[in-house]
Amino acid sequence: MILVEGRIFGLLSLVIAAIFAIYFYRESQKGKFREIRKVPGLDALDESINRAVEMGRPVLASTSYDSLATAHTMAILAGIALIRYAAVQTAKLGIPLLLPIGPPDVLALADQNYREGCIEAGAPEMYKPENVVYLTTQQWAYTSGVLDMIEDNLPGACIFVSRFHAEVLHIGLAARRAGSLMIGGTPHWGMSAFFAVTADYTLLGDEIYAAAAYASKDYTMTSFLSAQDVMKWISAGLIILGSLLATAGSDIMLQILSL
Amino acid sequence: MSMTRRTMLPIVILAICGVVTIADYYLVLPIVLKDGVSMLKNIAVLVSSMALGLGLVSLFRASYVKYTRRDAGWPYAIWTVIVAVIFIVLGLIGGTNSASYQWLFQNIYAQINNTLYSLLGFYIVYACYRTFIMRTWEVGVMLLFALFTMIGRAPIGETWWPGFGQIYTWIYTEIAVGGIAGFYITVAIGTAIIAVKILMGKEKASVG
Repeated sequence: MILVEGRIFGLLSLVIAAIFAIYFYRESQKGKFREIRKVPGLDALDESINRAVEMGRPVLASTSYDSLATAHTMAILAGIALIRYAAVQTAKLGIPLLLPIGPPDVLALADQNYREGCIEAGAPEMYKPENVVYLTTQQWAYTSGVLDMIEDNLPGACIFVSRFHAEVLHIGLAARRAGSLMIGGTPHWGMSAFFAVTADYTLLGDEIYAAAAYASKDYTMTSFLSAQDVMKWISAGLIILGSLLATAGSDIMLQILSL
Repeated sequence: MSMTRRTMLPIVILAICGVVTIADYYLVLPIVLKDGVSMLKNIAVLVSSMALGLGLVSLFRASYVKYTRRDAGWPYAIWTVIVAVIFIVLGLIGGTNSASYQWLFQNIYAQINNTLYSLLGFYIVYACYRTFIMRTWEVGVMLLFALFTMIGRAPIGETWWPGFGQIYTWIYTEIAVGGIAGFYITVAIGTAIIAVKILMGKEKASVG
């Protein structure tokens, strides 16, 4: 077995990330954890669910129309993790959770996490299979399905975290019309702008991956966020070093990155 | 099956599939392993397709509950089921390329699709309006850049003053591209860390 040319640096980065993740996880298990940065969008998660309780309205969450068998799997899983967190919280507080889901494979996963979340909250009776609604993997058919659920149920809070596309504008503005507090997040830079103008709180880029762990205040899980932050500092260092070297006329950093 | 087995088994399967797939990307694997990875990818697509049946059950169940409870918009729930059944029957009888299926698809579905898509134009204008409400100085900076971008991109901009085009190019190539690169680097790091978390079996969402 030999390494594929051009992907050595990527593999090295992945190994370093894994080492940091395991290190911080082990440390957190010993009771040592680093202070993590505040993410306003995630601090608002409980606030939005509590608001829905006060209004006597349901919470609605979705993960776009992308299937798990696409390049967006991690973003979908981040959304599913938030659905699980929302399931636990809504079950504890006794309000319904509505899940309009696009692709059928994500539907199975969302349904399972919803059920497990209700059991985890000690309220299995809050699990209502009819609240998990299959829509479609077609963008605008999915959008109209979500719009219908928003208009019909007037959710107090909407959580849209995954790899969303242009439908964000339709959905976001419908949520505003329904008076919902909306939390949105996507790893796509262009669609983040759409969320920024429609959502009350926007999770930017990698923040969605830490969402459920951060919201649960589970320090063993937030240790992964520490690893994420350290990797960011290393990347920033490499960018600065690369810029300085390039200014000095050296392309060594480019060579290392292309290994 | 005991609880430990029930939770451990999917994690072990996930870890094995994950490691093999990652290895396939970074390493030159022997042909036997490479075939195994291809098979895994095909299985993923197959399982995804099989889950469609589950989706249909969910759709029919949700529509039935809506009908029996006479929830708001229940007639639409019945209509959804009727349309789904028509499409399924036509697809099974003549295939998705048959004239009747294509007629329905092109004349109903495609038109509704286009209508929804075209609405995006209006929503973008509304989004622009919301963006351009200057509440803080940060929004003011964004507004300034957005104005230069808009004027620089519009054909009339360079007619007024050729510098607008140059300012737009500078904003896009020097500022925006750098920002986008930074955005993607952090997303890639987040993806790598969550992948490690899943392989360690610490991400409950992936196994339920």
